[in-house]
Amino acid sequence: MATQAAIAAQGLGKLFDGRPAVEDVDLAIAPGEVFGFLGPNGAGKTTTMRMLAALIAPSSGEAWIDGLAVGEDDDAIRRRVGLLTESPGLYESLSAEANLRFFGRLYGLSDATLSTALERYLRRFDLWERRADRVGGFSKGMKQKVALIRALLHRPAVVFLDEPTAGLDPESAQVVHEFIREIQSEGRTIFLCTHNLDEAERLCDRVAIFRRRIIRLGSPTELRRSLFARQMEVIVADPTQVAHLATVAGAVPGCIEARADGPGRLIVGLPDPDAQTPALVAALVGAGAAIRRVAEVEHSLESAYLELIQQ
Amino acid sequence: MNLSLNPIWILMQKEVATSLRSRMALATLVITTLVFIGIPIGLIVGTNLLPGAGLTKGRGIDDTTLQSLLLAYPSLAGLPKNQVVQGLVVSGMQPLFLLIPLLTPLTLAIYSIIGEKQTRSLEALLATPITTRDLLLGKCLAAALPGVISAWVSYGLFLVVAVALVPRAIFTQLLLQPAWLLAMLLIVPAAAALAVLVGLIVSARASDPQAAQQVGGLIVLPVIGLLLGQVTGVVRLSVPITLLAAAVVLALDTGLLTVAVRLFGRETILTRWK
Repeated sequence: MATQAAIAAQGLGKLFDGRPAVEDVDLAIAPGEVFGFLGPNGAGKTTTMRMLAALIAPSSGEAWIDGLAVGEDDDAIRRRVGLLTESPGLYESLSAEANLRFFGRLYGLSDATLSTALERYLRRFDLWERRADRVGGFSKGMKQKVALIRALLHRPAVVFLDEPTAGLDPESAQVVHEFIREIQSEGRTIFLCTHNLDEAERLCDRVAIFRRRIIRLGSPTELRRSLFARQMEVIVADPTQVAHLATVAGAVPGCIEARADGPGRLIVGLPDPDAQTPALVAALVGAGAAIRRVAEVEHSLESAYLELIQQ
Repeated sequence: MNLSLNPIWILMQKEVATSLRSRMALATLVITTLVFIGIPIGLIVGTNLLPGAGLTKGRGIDDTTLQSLLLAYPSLAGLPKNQVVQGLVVSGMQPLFLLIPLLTPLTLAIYSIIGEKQTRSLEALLATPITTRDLLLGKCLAAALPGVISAWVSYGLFLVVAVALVPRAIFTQLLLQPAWLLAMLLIVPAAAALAVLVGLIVSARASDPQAAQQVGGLIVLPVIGLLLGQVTGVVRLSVPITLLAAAVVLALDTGLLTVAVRLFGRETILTRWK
């Protein structure tokens, strides 16, 4: 078992009525890491998260949270874990404060501790003035903020966030993103289930592309590079030169491909751009190119995700 | 243990707070209590305030029926016919007090569970360290206690009004019966537990509170039968019958509790409840 990991799993699987929902998940997530769990609807992301949060029992394999074994130390795990569910799941007839006090007390927080934490978080999310209002009258973004506070009130070491910005307007989503970075800076481990690839790319140290099992795991950059050859984009001043310059670039040692890609745009495949780009630029300038820009082509995580899911 | 941090107590407080804000749950509690206490007390007051009414004159009951009733209650033989009839009719209404611990807890339990489903708050609740035993107990107590307390208070009020307005002999012979005191003591809590357990089990499979109430409401049928039996004189509650009925309800409670405990597993709630 990876005792150093905040979240670890070995061969984790779940069957529902004999059908596999999750298979053979191996994970080791370091303390303080933001880990993205990406996959299409019905891929088994929520089931995996529920197993790790000690809500449902694995059918196979093992998992540990902060060194505590899932299935053996479930109560202790639940005390160390914060969970933001897919929908806010608040009692709509109660006020924001009543909702949070209820959950805080279930986590064993004293009234004094709760009051301090409530004021801190409610002010952080601009909800302090609305704390006595019924949650039923809140916007979706406000409810999501209350649910996020609920997941963090007891200062959990590990936080599971299931689609934290689903349905939120960009401004609210931005607040949630900032807050995720803030809690990461406090050293908490974050397990982020999301469909939002831009969100995953910006927030996560590593991501797993998941469809019933982990298809690929790594940092967003590693994932992109594992799927797409590294390429340099060269923009030249004279579009008529591009065909000739493609031939020149193709002769640079180590070049995989070189092609014209639109007016004045050249794409050159280089296995090691850091080492090979100076030679490429020198060859092109030597051939009379007036270069305006040279940059590495950045494939998005979305392209990598779609590529992997389609595979 | 500090009560304010006891999960059962915390859950009960939340349940009461949400029930008080649920118009349907609150209306059921208030209306059920008012109706079921209003009928017997209304009969007592009405028969005293309206001396010309057929009931107080002993009309509406033929001599043969009266004689058979007096055979069942020989100690009433010397009393005026109208007082006997008043006592019998009022006494026959006592099963209404057994409907309170059925209807109120059933409604509160159904709205509690279906309310959690509708707001999707169960997963967040289950993610806390609360045990499923405490969750079940907290839900059960919060739904059952208002019904039990309401039934006891209503019955107490009924006895207070009766002792003030009903002739002493009628009160002691027909109303203040050991069988009914025992029923209040034993059957009321057992019936409330039964209603709550039925409510929880039905709600686990239902998403519409009205549909759940229609199914769960079937538990009142035995009490309606008792009410009809009492009014028509076919059934008279005795101590042995009360003890037997309490034992039957407790046995049903035990069986239903086994089902409810199975239904209240974290995984079952998250993956099997509809």
